Amino acid sequence: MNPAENLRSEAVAVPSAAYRARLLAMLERVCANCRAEPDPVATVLEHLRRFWHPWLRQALTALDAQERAQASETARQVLERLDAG
Amino acid sequence: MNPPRETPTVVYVPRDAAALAVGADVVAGAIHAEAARRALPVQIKRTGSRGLFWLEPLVEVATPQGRIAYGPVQPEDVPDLFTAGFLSGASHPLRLGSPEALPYLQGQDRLLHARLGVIEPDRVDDYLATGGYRALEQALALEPPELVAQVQRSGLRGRGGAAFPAGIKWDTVRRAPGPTKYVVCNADEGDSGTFADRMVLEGDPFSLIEGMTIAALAVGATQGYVYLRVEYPHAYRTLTAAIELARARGYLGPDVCGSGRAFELEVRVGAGAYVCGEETALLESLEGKRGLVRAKPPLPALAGLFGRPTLVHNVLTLATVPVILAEGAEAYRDYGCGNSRGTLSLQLAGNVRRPGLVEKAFGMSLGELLYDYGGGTASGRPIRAVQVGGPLGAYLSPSHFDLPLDYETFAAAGAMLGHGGIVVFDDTVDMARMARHAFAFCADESCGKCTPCRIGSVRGREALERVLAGGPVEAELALVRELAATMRDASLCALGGMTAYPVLSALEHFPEDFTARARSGRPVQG
Amino acid sequence: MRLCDDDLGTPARLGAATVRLTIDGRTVEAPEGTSLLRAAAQAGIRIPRLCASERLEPFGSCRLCLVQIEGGRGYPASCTTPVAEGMVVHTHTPRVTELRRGVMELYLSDHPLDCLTCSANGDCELQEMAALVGVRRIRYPAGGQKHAGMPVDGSNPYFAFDAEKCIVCARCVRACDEIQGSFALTVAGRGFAAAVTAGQGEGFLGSECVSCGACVQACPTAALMEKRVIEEGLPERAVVTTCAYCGVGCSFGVELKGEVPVRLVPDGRGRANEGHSCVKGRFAFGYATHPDRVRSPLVRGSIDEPWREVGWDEAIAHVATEFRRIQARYGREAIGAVASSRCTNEEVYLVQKLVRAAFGNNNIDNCARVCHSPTGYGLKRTFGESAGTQDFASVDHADVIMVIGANPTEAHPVFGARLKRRLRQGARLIVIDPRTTGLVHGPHVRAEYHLALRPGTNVALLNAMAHVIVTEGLVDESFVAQRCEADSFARWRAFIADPRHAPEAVEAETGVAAEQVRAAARRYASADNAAIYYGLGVTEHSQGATTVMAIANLAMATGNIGRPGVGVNPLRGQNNVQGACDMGAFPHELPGYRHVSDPVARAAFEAHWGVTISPEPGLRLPHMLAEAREGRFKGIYIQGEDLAQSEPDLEHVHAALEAMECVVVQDLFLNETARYAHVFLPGASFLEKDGTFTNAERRISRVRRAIPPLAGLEDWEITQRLAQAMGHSMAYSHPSEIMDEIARLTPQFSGVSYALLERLGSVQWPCNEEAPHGTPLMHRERFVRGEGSFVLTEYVPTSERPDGRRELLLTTGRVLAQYNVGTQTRRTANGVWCSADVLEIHPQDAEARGISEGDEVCIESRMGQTRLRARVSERVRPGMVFTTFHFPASKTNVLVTDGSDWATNCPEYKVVAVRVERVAGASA
Repeated sequence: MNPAENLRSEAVAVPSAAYRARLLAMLERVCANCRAEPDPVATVLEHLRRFWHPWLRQALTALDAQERAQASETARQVLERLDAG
Repeated sequence: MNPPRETPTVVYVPRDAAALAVGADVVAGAIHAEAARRALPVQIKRTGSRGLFWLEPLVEVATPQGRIAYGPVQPEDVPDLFTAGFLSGASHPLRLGSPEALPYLQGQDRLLHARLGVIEPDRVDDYLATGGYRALEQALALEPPELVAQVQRSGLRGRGGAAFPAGIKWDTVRRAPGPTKYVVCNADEGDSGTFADRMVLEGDPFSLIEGMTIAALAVGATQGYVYLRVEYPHAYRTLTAAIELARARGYLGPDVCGSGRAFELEVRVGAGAYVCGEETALLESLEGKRGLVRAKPPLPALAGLFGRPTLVHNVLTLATVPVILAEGAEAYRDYGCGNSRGTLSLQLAGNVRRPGLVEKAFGMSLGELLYDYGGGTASGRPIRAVQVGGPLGAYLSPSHFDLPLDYETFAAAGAMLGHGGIVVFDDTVDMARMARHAFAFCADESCGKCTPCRIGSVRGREALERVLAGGPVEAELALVRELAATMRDASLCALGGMTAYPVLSALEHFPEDFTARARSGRPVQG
Repeated sequence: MRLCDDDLGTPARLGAATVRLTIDGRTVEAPEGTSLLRAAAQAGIRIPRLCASERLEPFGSCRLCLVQIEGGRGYPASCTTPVAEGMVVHTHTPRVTELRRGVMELYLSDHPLDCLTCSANGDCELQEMAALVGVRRIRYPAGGQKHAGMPVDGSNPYFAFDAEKCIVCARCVRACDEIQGSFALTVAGRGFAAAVTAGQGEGFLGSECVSCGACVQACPTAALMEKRVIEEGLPERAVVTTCAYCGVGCSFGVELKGEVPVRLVPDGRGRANEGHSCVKGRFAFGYATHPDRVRSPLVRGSIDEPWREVGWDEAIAHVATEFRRIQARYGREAIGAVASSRCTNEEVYLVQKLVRAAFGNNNIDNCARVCHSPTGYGLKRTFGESAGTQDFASVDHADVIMVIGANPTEAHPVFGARLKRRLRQGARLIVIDPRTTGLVHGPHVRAEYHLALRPGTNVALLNAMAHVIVTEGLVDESFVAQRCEADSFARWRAFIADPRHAPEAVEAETGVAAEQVRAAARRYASADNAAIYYGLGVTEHSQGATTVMAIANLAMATGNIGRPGVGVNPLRGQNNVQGACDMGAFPHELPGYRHVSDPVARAAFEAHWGVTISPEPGLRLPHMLAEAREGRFKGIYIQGEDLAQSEPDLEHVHAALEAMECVVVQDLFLNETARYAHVFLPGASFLEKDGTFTNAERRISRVRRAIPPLAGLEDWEITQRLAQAMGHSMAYSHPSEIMDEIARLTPQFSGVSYALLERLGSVQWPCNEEAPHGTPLMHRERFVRGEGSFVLTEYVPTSERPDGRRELLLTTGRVLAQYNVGTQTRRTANGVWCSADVLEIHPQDAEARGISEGDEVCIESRMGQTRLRARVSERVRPGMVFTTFHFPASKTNVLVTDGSDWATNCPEYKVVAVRVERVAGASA
């Protein structure tokens, strides 16, 4: 069994709004802590890739436009790159 | 206030504790009152004591012919003395003439104690006028090694009891590495029948302060402590006042006599433990801990107070230092005999007709001291025993009275000079009880650290109590002998170690007091 | 069984020169400064002694060790006499024999000669020495003064002091002073009346005694004796093992009668503790045989049902069936596990192997998530290895010690005692802690600087210190140039030199006077050797990982890495939390801290295990719980961790557990989490298993089975059975085989084996071909990652701040007598010292709220509320309150918010804005 496949098959459920908000707050904290880095967006993406379970990253991509509107610039860029896969 | 009509007559009344104990303050008050009553101008100066205790209160009057002594003066004698004209040195039954001419003093070698009874102890100018601080002036001009060499050449040995060569100790502390060193004066004079330290503290405190300052210069210390026994309140007041005066005059402090060298001095008061006269227990106590004896090594000279190199000396040793510097090491060395150089401060006490302080060059015989100075017993009965060197000194019998007073001879006779205290007993003394007392004293004063002293002293006391109660003598005495030897050889410090001296010497020189008891069944008393 | 036989009598001296002397005709060599007693003992010559011990400075009081030295006077004590070149010593002359007998006879004259009924019979040095010295009679008759009949002080729950058996050797007093540093004991009185006294005579329990046991250990007779030995008699056998409390990892001898542990005795050869112990490790082991222990697996259909006792086979089969069912229905990622950092390395390794090989995912975490995960992250990024840099002995060489957010005298007592010893020797101390801990003012210990910062501002403060170091020219330029990355340092230097990091600029934020920060920074930077020790006050913050990296930056910038006396030292909380991390009980890391995305590392395990390993990080524990509430995560295997009490935001945790379909708890007791469990698998205590623990200094020590597992299986066996039931073959017959596999697959452990551990006693990883005897000090020549990396540590304030309603900041910590959530210590007599959590509050804050000492107060955070009794104390600064979390009834963690470290999700236990009010009607 291909693990990646298994992960994808589980991404059907839509995360709750509260959970999405929590994850966005987490993302914002990562962004804030990486803001002094030369390329904050890349640093944050790398952090998510290394430490966040795919479900969490997928949940971020489920953020709707309204939710994204409240995100910081860095977070928005990160979300865009996540959307792009 | 009327101006003085004429120059007042100076009257000297000692303020030494020994004089106070026999009413010196009351006498001084009586003189003051009587002078006022008679409208005679009198200035009373309070000095230390010359150390002729049977004559205390010894009042002296300054006359054109020099000082004239009267004594022992009781308050009720005072009107009579005035009437007789003692202010001009007139004759009176109590008139003793020039004090220096008294045989007791005339025969002495008063180097260290020259100022006792002469100067007012709390006047720097008196001290300076009698040669004080000359030694410090010289010392400031010398390099530390040369200072140490002078002490070495003088042959001075520690006067506290152990008689260790002072120069070697100084050199050890001087050479010890480390930026912080201390000079500590052991003024915990606890031996029965001793008082020389106290007399210096009360009668000539600057000599100690000067001696400690010189010692500090020599070894590289900037802080000194005097560890004073709590039982000496007068000495405490005199010494602390003198330290304040010395500081005010620049003899102590950050810049001693403008030399740029610092020396501070503090007095710390003990809490009534005899064992704190032992130098390592003293250091513990100074550090604020229980007065517990330390094992040696390390020597205090290398790791003493707060673990720093520390020069620990008795009062007499340190107060002798200015004498050596001022008079010259060789001049000091000329006194004495063999390896015991200089003078010894002997303190006569107990059942003796003329108790007091006798400073003599080493070498005089014990008998000479007891009879020529002491005048035999106060009771008029024959001397049967003397204890030399404090409560842990050996008991000697008249067969020892021709022994010359020097360290080596005494050691060879199984005795010791110690701090120079001599307690006299007449023929009514019960030496078995004295031996019991030695153990009891040790039991009372033991710090409790080492086993031979902590338990042995109690077991020794109990064994002798059984003897005193008429128990079987031979087995008990064998046990006592063995126990005393165990304590001597196995104890951590001299307290337990030297308890054997009074016990074994009593057994050896006065065996009849132990064996006769079994026959008579004399019970123990107290 | 005591260790006195190998005790050489006086401490080792490390004199440069070697001295040659003759003892009893034998030529002996010893370092300068060595005592004759020790030199003789090393040559196999046994000199009688009672007051000497190699863990105490020589004292010279018993006078049994007297010898004769040719040309010397008298009979010097060999314990206090140093060796000298050419010295000729005789230890056994007729006179010396006489003296020893004389002294021993005195001892015995004041001793109740009731040897046959004495609790120390057969284990008494007095008895032994009497035999050695050969006393044949006591000539002092009865009726003399004695200590017989003095009252026994039984106030301490674990040991008694019987004064009539005391020989006043003061070993207990000196152990209390020199080893533990409590100065609780003294010898009061003098002469025959000299008597060991606790405090000012209050007795042991009422005194400053911390019940570390050093005095009991030091006592040569039955004067200080464990009550269990008094009750049960001497043990028959001993098994050397490793303590299961904190991360110090003390070595103990478990002394037993049959299968009953009688006492634990600290092992003098244990290199983590060197014969010392604390009240928990030495005495609080009764939980292991407590009646509450569960002895049979339990199963139930739902958490409302009562438990049903079942056999192991049924329980295991049930779990396997459930987990497979869940995976089949919800997907492979729907289950996970939490490995216990209380269990052995081998057991943790098996759990992560179970997850990766049998579950087929990376959903494995361990309690480091909630304690030191930021340490692993931060030190890996800066130094290249997720562990402390030093061994404990290193502190003996430190000149300046900086303790940040740690309270070692309470939480790591044996190391705390060692640290205090170094402080008493003169090392300077800087404490960064909002609370006045025991180190700030203690007996003969005082912090030169106590930077009592506002909770949550660690990064601002450490940045300010770094700013001072950089702007005042205190950087160790040559170290940085030789050992660190030039570019990351240059970036960091420019970053930190910015005036916004100046102490003056952050003074208002941290609450610490700028001048204090400057002075402390100068002190740290200008020391010959400066060491940092830190604890959960660093990691359990929203910027935990950043703080760890700020610490690493400081150490690198000042060159305080790579030699004795320096370093960055996390004080790990649990006995094996270092090991649990080392063993790969992390969702993103395989054993040896290799990322799951690393194809080389993955391939090695895949080859050995015969499975495919997911390259994606698994769920962290908080995310398992969050996903459970989201409905995606359905089953969990929890090995020895009480999530329902120890996690933050407990109401959320409870809901998450309730949402799962199969919760499996493996523990000693039916803990809080077991309320939510469907299966309970009874685990084995540390006394019941073989294995290894790894302590805070990376020291791997053996755990040895002293008694059989109460429920029949060691924890690794349970996991192995579960793996087998789930279809993954595991067939280890002994934990040593698991360690062999770990060694084969993990570079840092490649040299480790049980045979090596038997030979060396313990070993500090990395242990491999390059370091066959382990690595006490890391990063000596170069950093593990090559060059040290400076990380920019931007201060991002926590969102958890006081507001109009919640004006105070709550922070949490531990006390000495209790441990973590109290599962163990609450089941011992340690309650006499601490029987409830209390809320420390500053007098000003208490007064403003009408709160008096002992009042019941209500504490409310934005997550929940609870009630505690108040303790009005100046140990906390105004605006701050403090409590512990040892008792479930306190529900302290109900208050803790969902805030967590940005990098690792380590919860922000240390900063909770709270409202505190006196409960109306309640009073003390």
